[in-house]
Amino acid sequence: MIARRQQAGANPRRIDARLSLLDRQVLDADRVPVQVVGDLELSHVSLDHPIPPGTPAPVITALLSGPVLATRIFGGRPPTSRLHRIDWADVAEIDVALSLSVRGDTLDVTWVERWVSEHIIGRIPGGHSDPQ
Amino acid sequence: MTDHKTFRDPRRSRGTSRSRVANVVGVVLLCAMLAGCVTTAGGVLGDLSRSARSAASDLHSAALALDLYSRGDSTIGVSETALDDAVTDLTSQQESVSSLSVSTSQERNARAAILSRLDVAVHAVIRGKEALTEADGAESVHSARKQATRDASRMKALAIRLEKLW
Amino acid sequence: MNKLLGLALGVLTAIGGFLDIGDLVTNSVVGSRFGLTLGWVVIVGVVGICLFAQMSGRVAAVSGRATFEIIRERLGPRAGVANLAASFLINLMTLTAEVGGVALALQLASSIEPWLWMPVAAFAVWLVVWRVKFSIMENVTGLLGLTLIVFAVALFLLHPDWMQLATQAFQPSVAPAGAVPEAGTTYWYYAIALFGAAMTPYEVFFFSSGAVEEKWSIKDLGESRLNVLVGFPLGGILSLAIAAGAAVVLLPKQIAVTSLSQVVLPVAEAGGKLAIAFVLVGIVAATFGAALETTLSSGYTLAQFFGWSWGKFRKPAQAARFHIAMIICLLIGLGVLATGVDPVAVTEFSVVFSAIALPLTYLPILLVANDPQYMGKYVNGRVTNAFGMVYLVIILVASLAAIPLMIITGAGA
Repeated sequence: MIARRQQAGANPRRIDARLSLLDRQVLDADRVPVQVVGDLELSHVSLDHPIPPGTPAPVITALLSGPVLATRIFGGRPPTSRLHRIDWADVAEIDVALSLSVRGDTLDVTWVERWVSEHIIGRIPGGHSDPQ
Repeated sequence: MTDHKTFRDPRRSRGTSRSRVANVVGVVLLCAMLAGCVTTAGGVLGDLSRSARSAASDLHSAALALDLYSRGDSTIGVSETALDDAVTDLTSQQESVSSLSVSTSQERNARAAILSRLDVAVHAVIRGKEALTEADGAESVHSARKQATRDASRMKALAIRLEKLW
Repeated sequence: MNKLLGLALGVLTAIGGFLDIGDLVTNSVVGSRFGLTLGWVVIVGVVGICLFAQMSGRVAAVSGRATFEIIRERLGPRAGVANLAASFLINLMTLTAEVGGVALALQLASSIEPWLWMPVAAFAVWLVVWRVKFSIMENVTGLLGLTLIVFAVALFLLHPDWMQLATQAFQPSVAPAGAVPEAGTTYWYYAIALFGAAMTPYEVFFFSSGAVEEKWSIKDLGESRLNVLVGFPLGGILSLAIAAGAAVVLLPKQIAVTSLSQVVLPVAEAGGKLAIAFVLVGIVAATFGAALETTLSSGYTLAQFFGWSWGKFRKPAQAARFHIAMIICLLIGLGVLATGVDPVAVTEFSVVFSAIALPLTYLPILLVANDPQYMGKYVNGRVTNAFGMVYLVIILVASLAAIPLMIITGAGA
């Protein structure tokens, strides 16, 4: 599957979604790791139904992680409410890793990291000290 | 990488899971077959001879630990721990030997012989360990070491006799 | 001058950090039962770990990424998950063995029961992972581990029959004189165990993640090559010294090593209480260092696979899942040890399972090291690839033969 990335003012780049997007590390605006892309959310594609000819190409709407890894390997699809999404609009750069234009802690997907950080790790003495 | 990897055909997954089950069954069968040609063979006599060999090793080890201590070449920590480890292994040999089921009178006699020797061995090593911390223990350490060495040779002789039988 | 000191430090810590509880126990067991007839396996293992540590270090230095990040990207989620599952479980088993090893070594030093030392050891490991700077942690444990040189010194002090040792080493098909007869299948089972002990998989994750932790770049490659190619073989020589010492002192008495106390007896025989002091410091340092490395490796493998923020260079609160994963792993290890299982038995299983998991952990490195997209012009040369292919075959054979041999020999009984 080929994805076309529209960059303002630049020629559109063609990249292979499976090679360049799936299983890639996602970094936030501060280059802190956020997640690895488990799957991609596409617009107006329905599973189990053949796509009628003449349908416009689907558009990537979000990067997904979480339970989608298991479903991608073994089959099936988690309900929409269980998808951990990063909006495609937040993606700033596609390179060896994907960079976002927003900071990690503004995203829903980092809630586990924030929760563990605030409630467990942050409470242990030394949790906030710089190790270097 | 082909397309059907991302959009799974449900019919294909049913077929692959069946062959996966077959693989698992095949591996289990293979393991069962291999269990038949184990080196831990020789039946009860084989198990007994291996226990005797282990016990001889423990006794020699205890004798060495006692010897090193009496020469001043070992610390109390190392020698005590070595003796403790020997006792632990000897008692586990006792447990496994007593749980063996014997059928012939030869096996019964062999098992009785080993159990009685193991009993002697455990007591000898415990006595040696006590001697380490006694005030004037040098004599006791010496005699415990000699005892352990003697018991070790007897164990080894027993093991060799049993090995000839199976 | 500073540069020279830095290089020396690197090599010394590589030597001191080479041995862990798996090497200590397995080499001693093998020496006491097979003499030096399995010595060739140590050499094969050392060459192998040099090869793969070098590759994984180069991958990290050139691409700036650590192993697991690349495995999932390059080979896809299925290979990544299989790799992760195998690596993580082996890591956990090795971690348990190392923490147990620290406790056993402290028992030898103090006569206090190991069960009391285990929680202390696990807590100490966590504390160091939590607070101590990466390079300090590596340097201290590595330098203290150098005291294990006493095994080599002890061998000389024992005035062994060098001809006899050489005969054992160079005629591996002949059983050593005076040994209890062993089956051929048992010989090969221990060959695999020794191979697994030398080619410790966690070394690879740790090496490459450590390279990222210490922010290596291409100009550090020369130094890392030196550390590996000088340090690891010297560490391998220590492995052989452990086996030889056991062959000289324990084998003639037909003492088969089953506990850590027996591992130090040859050293005591050779050098008395002073030698014991050195060897105990060394064993505590080596097993503690390995416990640190396996704990960090568990964190690295999970975090890199799932894309979490990781690294000791970050504040713990900014790598929360990384740290909580390591805490949970230490607790699991402690829990397993609390069941009363013999840490030496755990060690013996962990080295064999390491050998079984080797194909899953090394094949991806070989593939990535050949990938120009990540490596640019630093892809494997022809010689490296030739060695890499030979080792892939060796690793596959060892991995496939391990379980059948384990069943046939009753796990080396």
